[in-house]
Amino acid sequence: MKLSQPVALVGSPGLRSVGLIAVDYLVKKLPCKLFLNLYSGSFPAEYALTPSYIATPGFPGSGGVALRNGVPELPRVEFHSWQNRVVVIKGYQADFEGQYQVAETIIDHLHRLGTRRVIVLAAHGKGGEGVQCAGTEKRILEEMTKHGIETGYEGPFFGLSGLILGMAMTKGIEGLALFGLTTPMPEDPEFPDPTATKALLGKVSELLNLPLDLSELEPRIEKKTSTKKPESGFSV
Amino acid sequence: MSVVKIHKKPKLKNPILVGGLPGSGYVAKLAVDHLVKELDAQLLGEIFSPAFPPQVLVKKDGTVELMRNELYWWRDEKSDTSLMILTGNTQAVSPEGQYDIAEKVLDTAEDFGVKRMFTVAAFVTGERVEKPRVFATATEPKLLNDLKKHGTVPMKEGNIGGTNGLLFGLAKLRRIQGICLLGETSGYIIDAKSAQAVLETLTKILDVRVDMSALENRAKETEAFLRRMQELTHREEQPQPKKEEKGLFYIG
Repeated sequence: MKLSQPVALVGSPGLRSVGLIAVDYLVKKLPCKLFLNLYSGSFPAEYALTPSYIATPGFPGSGGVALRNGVPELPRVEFHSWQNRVVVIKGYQADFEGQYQVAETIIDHLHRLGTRRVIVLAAHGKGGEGVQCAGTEKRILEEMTKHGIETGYEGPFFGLSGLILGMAMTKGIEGLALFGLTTPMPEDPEFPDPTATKALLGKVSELLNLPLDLSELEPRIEKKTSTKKPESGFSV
Repeated sequence: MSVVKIHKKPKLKNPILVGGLPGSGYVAKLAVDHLVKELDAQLLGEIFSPAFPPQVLVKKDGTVELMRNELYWWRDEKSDTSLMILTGNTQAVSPEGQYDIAEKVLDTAEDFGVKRMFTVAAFVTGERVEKPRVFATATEPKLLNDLKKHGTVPMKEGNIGGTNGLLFGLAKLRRIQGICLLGETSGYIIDAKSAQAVLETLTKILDVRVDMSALENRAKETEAFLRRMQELTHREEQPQPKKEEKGLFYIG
């Protein structure tokens, strides 16, 4: 895999699935090539508590596999590449014991690939529309102001996406978080919000000059139903 | 499990460890953070742990910080008093993590020659506290009499949860002389008033002078907030006029 100081885009299961849909869409539409899978004994196939991004000690969930077209697939983090300049990472939320280790392993690998910047794609549940940001350095935030992206959130940033940003700092990789504004749904926190995803990806393609056609985003997502109702059952 | 990163190795003579991680009412953290700020204590090292909450904190200016505990050092050139101060933006969540952090802190403290330590914690009453008392407990019963002279109330029964309690308990096993000072608080608010009370006692015992005005101002804000809450509760408890009575004032 030959990459030239790539930028990594990371999305994980999270608030209104904004980050996760964003990376799924990038992988499909750019399109990207899968080059690495990361597996962990801390990846539950089913979570004991929801949402998945708030891991709690003593509630590891249950291990297992998911079936896709009749074939078993282990939970994993996927590394994809586009051309030689973008890495797209589809994250997975580990249990409490594994969150830091997984984030550290991902960042270690990105460091080995010569990654210069990590952009975490996520959501902020303040309602309304648009994109806000947070970052590891003030300089990056000033750069975002030129693109019309302001800060606006203060508080904890939960789960793998937050930790990726923190771990990037320890390796000297620039870290930026872009939050698509969304409205939380307490009864189903990870229910997809395609509108917020579209706004987010609009800014991503502007920042990285990506040839990304966003027109298929909304119809594809609208076919989905609640994340709490998987297509197939879960059995142990 | 956790990692201690030491940035500096200052020469400290018989340093005293003071620990206060965030807990009920933020009493311990407020008190110890104030001490660090006012003494202009310097960063000695940082502790990172996978037992901390899996998250980062986005600060007001939009930059992020990892969850961490910090060790600071301070030395009074005149009196030769040296302090190692433990604070942080979180506590380990799991009991294994709390033990691990407490042991690592004590290992580091012993490396610097610590033989005496204080931890700050909260004494939660669940009720509004007008004038917070400071409770005290010690690894040796004879210390309690000395502590009474500083106006503290002996705490003889109960639990001191989390890393603040474990530091104190594990110190006893290592024969480090330990004193825990607990600020009385309702536990429902960020209690600067209780933090001020406990820090005043601590600095008196340590014979260290600290300007309390910033903490005092925060304590006044706490008081003003409590008064507003009391007024609101009082208003809600007043009998409301009946709907028919209201109607007499409006003709349309």
